[in-house]
Amino acid sequence: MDEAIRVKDLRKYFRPRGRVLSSGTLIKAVDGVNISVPVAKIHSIVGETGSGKSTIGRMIAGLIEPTSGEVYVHGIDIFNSSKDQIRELRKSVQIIFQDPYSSLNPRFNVKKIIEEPLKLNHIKFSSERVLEILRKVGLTPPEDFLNRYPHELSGGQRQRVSIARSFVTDPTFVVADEPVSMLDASMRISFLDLIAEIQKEREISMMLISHDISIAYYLSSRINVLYLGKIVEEADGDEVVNNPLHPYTKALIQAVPKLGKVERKEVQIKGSIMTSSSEMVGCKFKDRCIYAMEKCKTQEPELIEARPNHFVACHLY
Amino acid sequence: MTEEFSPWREFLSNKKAVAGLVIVLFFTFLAILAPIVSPYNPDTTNPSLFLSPPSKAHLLGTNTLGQDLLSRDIYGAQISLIVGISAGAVAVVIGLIAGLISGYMGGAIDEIIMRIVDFFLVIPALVFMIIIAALLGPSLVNVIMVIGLLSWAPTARIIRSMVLSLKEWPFVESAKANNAGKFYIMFTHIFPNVTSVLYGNTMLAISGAIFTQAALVFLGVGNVNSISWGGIIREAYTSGALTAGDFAYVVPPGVFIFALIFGFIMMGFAIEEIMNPRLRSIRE
Amino acid sequence: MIEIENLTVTYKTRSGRIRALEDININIQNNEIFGIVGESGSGKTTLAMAIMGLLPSNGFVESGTIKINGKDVLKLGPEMARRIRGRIVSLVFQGAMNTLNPLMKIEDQVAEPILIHGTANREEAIKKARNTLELMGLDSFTWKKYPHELSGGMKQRAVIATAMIMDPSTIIADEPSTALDVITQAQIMNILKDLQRAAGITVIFISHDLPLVSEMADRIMILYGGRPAEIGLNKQIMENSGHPYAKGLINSVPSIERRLKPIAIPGEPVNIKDPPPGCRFKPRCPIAIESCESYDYVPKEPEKDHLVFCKMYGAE
Repeated sequence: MDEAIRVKDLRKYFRPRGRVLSSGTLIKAVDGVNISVPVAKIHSIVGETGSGKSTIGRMIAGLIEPTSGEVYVHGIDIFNSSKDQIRELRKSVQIIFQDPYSSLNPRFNVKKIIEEPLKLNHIKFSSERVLEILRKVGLTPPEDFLNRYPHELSGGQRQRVSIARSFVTDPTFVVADEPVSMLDASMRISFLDLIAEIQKEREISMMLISHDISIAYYLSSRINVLYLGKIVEEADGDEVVNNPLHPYTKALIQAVPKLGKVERKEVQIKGSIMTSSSEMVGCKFKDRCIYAMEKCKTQEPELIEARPNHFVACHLY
Repeated sequence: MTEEFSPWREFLSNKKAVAGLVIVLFFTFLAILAPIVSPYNPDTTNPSLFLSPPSKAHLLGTNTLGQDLLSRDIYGAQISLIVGISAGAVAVVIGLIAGLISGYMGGAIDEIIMRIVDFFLVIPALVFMIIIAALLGPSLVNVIMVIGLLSWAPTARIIRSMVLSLKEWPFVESAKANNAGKFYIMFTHIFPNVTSVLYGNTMLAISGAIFTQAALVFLGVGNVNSISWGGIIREAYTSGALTAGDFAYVVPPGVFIFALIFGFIMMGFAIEEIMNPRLRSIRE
Repeated sequence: MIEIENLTVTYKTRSGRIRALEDININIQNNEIFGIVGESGSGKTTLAMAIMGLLPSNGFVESGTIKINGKDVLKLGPEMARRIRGRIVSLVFQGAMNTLNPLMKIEDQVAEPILIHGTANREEAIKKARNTLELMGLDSFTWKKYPHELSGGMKQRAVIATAMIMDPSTIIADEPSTALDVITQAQIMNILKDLQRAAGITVIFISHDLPLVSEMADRIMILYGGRPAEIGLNKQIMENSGHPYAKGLINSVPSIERRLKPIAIPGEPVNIKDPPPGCRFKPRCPIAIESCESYDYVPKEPEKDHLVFCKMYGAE
């Protein structure tokens, strides 16, 4: 099986709370997403808060049920399978969380935290397995860390424990949800390198979720740009960064801070991010797009291959 | 920035906590050592000493049966502590389980439990307890059960609100992603993280139970046959001593009730103070 | 003009005293954008708080002076300090957009400092608030809204408006855009730059994000573990940085345009509860030698206005 993950027309709609939208309208957090991740590759989803990226990540990991659409992990439809199949699958699919502080139970020591996924999945293990994964993430000597509690560790150390926990069951697919965004800048590359190293060694497929396109570019081979629940551009890293096609992607790349003083940064975009509701017609980006045309107001653009292996959803193409 | 946090050390350096602890320990020793400390056997009657005023032989005087009031006041500590702690514990345990299940399960179960909680918060609990205690008849166990079963609502609310926020935390998601079942998560992940709130709450529940027991006995229901402070005040009332202004009869048991309650409340406040910033330090 | 001399700020904690900042010396010129780059434990927020006199109750200035326009603010009484706070120097602190009063309309909140300082009546205050909001790109549509009705970017602009309303000569912005998406962040940065140019104010821009600061600042100070690592002009630091930490930071940025592969800095930011002796960066430093443990933080000056706090700098 070449494909580790296949996401088909995934949608998640919410009923809004509060008086901002009238009842009857839905919030379309994820609105028809298609992704395919081959074995042993890292793909990424780049989007901002409100783009729906975390929701997609959790659906792929099986934590939230989609409103419609399917997620296939190694060919198995995770929302339409027997309980036993899903249980088996759970040990192969893991998540790396963003926040090193709230992703570890403050009452568990490191030993308990790492052992938990093994125990819950009924995997027989020796103490060496726990020590080995701690060594792998750079917590050496591992024996020193077993009895420590999260509040005795630094942020970086906690995130290492979190990563160790995610990899201890030998997963074949890992969702990394902003794995370094809460770490200090000087540590990020070393964490990304660590994740990449384990991924390569064990041939794990990964979905990286990030708001930072530079991190996605560094770690992943293929980037999906997400805007308000829809993929607006999809291509290999170099292609997206050097030949951005969608106006949103272009704006994103213009906006990313680069080294060196600029007098005034030109970011070609209007307004600010909104919520995708069922009241929206046409292209979701039209209100912010500087190239918006008549067509954009009524017709939602489809993803087309504008350049070789480079897909974009925009009427400009 | 993580600090070395030792709850005991914090507790012992907190003035409220130490004051409360001293008071509670005082009454505990009084209760345990009652046979040694009290001048007379509290049940020994002496009809010739009917309602005698304070004297050298009987520092607080005697009641209608000639029993020494000081001894009875000392022995009263036993009931207050036994009922207070047991009923408090019952209330907290029920509240804990109700709050955990309600908060974590959500949906219909949450609605049902919360409506029951609302009921208990709204009704005048004392009235309810009077009725039930009167129906069940006087006994220690009955009193403990009645108080415990009708005082769990505040605890349930507090625990539920903590659970509601805890269940969204990523470490719970992580367990779910690994096939953890509902009860596993509730008791292994969520419960240990609500204990910080539980200690303070228990102290307050105990102090509530002490007062309630005294009030029930004063009103003539509950364990009227044991020696308790509420009972002594009731005697004072029914024998006319209260209206006659006999302070030695009424004031000591009243002061003891409030002192013991005060002791537990002080410890409760201190514990909440100590624990609360730590709740925030989970994010530290 | 802000002159900071030998500033040492300490916190009293249960585990003892922690020196969050030690011996800081900087002069911030009028009308410049001064960037402070640092990670956790660097002391950057402490510096902002010390200038504003907003240190928490367990923090105090152990030694040194902070002179604003020639007056040492540490020696001022609370009344004078209050006047400085908000009127001459104002602060946009980290996460400020989340502390907007949810029960007050935006224009009222922005007008509030005027009413507190008592410099105008309510009508004039609201008028000024509206003007300032417009400068921030928030039009009349937003004035009567409540914070929860605005997006993160709009809230942050409102916060900046609040900081600007008293026409301060200096504004300190501590991580003003961390919680915002990158496009909104770029827009906010543009606003700050426009403001600075138009109003001729001094901006002290504090962030852990070196590229972000480098886009804004005329001069940059890089803090590590409560002590300076390097101070210099933007160009000097970007093209000719001397301190291994500064170099490491520049090299470890996963940039989308650099051709070279980023190189990680080993280890973790220093724990200031228990700092290493001498140079605080030594445990992570690729060129450190044993005697760096006795480094006394006397800087080298490779070019004018460029200070490198490294014993090994230039020693070949």
